[in-house]
Amino acid sequence: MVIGMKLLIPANGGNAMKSKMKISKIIILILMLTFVSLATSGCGTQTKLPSLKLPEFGGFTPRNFEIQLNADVSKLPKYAVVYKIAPQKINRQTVEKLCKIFGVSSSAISIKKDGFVEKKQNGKELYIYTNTGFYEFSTQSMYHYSPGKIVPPKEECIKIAKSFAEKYNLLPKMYSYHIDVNYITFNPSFNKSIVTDRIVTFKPVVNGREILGPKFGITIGNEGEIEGVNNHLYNITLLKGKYALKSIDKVITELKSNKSQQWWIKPDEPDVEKIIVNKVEMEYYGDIGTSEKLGQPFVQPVYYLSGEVVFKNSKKGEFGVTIPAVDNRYIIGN
Amino acid sequence: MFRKITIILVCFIFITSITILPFQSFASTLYSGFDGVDHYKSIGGCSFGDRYGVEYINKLNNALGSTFYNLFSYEDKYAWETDLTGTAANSVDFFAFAGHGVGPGITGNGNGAAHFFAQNSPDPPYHPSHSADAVNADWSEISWGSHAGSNCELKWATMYCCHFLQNYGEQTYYNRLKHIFDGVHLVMGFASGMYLNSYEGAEYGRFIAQGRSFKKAFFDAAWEYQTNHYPNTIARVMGAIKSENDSYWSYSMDPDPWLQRPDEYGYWDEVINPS
Repeated sequence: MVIGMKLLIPANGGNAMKSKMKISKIIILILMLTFVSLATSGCGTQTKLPSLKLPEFGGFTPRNFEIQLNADVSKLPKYAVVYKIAPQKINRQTVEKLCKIFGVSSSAISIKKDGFVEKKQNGKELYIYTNTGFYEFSTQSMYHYSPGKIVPPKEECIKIAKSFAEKYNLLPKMYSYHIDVNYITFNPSFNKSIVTDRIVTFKPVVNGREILGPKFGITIGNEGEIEGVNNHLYNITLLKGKYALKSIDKVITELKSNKSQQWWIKPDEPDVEKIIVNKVEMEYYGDIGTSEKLGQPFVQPVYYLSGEVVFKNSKKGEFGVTIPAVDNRYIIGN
Repeated sequence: MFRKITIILVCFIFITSITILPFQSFASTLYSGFDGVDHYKSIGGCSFGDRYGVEYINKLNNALGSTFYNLFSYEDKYAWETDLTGTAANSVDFFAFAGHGVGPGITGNGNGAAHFFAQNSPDPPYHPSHSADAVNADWSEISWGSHAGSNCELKWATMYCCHFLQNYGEQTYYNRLKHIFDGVHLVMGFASGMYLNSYEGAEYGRFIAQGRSFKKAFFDAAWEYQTNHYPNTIARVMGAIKSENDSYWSYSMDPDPWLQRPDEYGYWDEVINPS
């Protein structure tokens, strides 16, 4: 009996040992998996980000609508980096350089209390904002039509602007640039429209993805004259670690629940029945704040969904919507 | 000798007054007024949704600083259609509205409008429909400027909302817009959809206070902030051609109404993100 007992005890103890070993193996496996996922995602090391605030579209934004996903989302990244913004440095040398480029005297420059340098001379105006690194230059001819004013065509203006920016090394090298050409017209009557300026707008691109928000503009006027330069670019530095992005399912759930999104719809109709998503892209959004003070501190990835919209009255149109892409677990307050 | 000097002086003053005064006058005290609406949906039940109209006018007002003496700033349920169609807007030199703007398709009466949720009263009921007269200050109801009546001072108006200056490519709507211009120098606004960004109010106000022309200040601010994917955003300035370069410190004499002097009026567009 005693022997039997003795025999029984090791037998039961063996089972317990096996169980313990199994548990240990599972724990080790879990730890390894956690380590691997931490190593790949970097979770836990990333800075928490403030919720991205996107300006709202003034027109209608859809509520209670169907979503049809036609886009290929298989190549969308699962992780992305985030950038911290920093102002371009402005010191006396920079101010003097800008004065020289734009042909205004640099004598008697004083940096004002609220952080900007202002020079008005011979119809030229130069404002340099020391807190943000932004600057604006203009001549009296900017946006103004006088008879005989001829503005070169779009492609010519791009050449002129590129050449000017390169000559004076005005564009930060950390970006490549996507170029848009905006324009100003004077319309003396309903049917008459005269182009008075073209604004060659350089939008920063990082790792092949455009950053919406910061930009640099060169305004071209009569016969290619540089009538204005607007610098609203800042520097960026990489934040440590990669950030997991929301899945497309999560994006669609958020779209339906009307969480922070930036829509546009054409035409501006109130009742949307369905949106058909034909394209999903990842890009970046970077707030610029104002010339006196930079805004949100990070450049964050966003999804841009675009496609067709079908209204309840069966009319069709186009839409686009921008949605913050970083997984909510990295966002402060979640 | 004394008589000669007196005659020369009188002639000088006379010639100066007839050559300079019709084109330029210089500000003594200029007044501002604002209407901004945020809570269209959450208070007013308007399905167009809430927007940052109040934030825009507050930042604009702050940035203007002492450039203008602020006479009124009506927000949300205190912002009414009659502020634009009655005496309030006309009682100041610079007026700005921020909120929703709607086209003729919404008002149903062939006019674009600035949209409100309160029905000219802070008390409910709010917003019976998108087309109700009391929630729309439409083109046909607005006459701004010194020709609109005694004590009418309005020179520059800013409509920070969608569509207010849009003629949809039709002469009919273009002609209806002219009704607004009864001595007002310039009206800044949009001829398309747009994005509401309160930072734009801060920047626009600061540009005005720096002494930039209203047109340039509005276009510069729009270029900075109307930056997203919406194709063909059109920032528009309409008004008297002689007032094109008006700034708060140097501006033209009041123009005659557009309907009386059509050749002396026009508009300027800034086309952003052209498709």
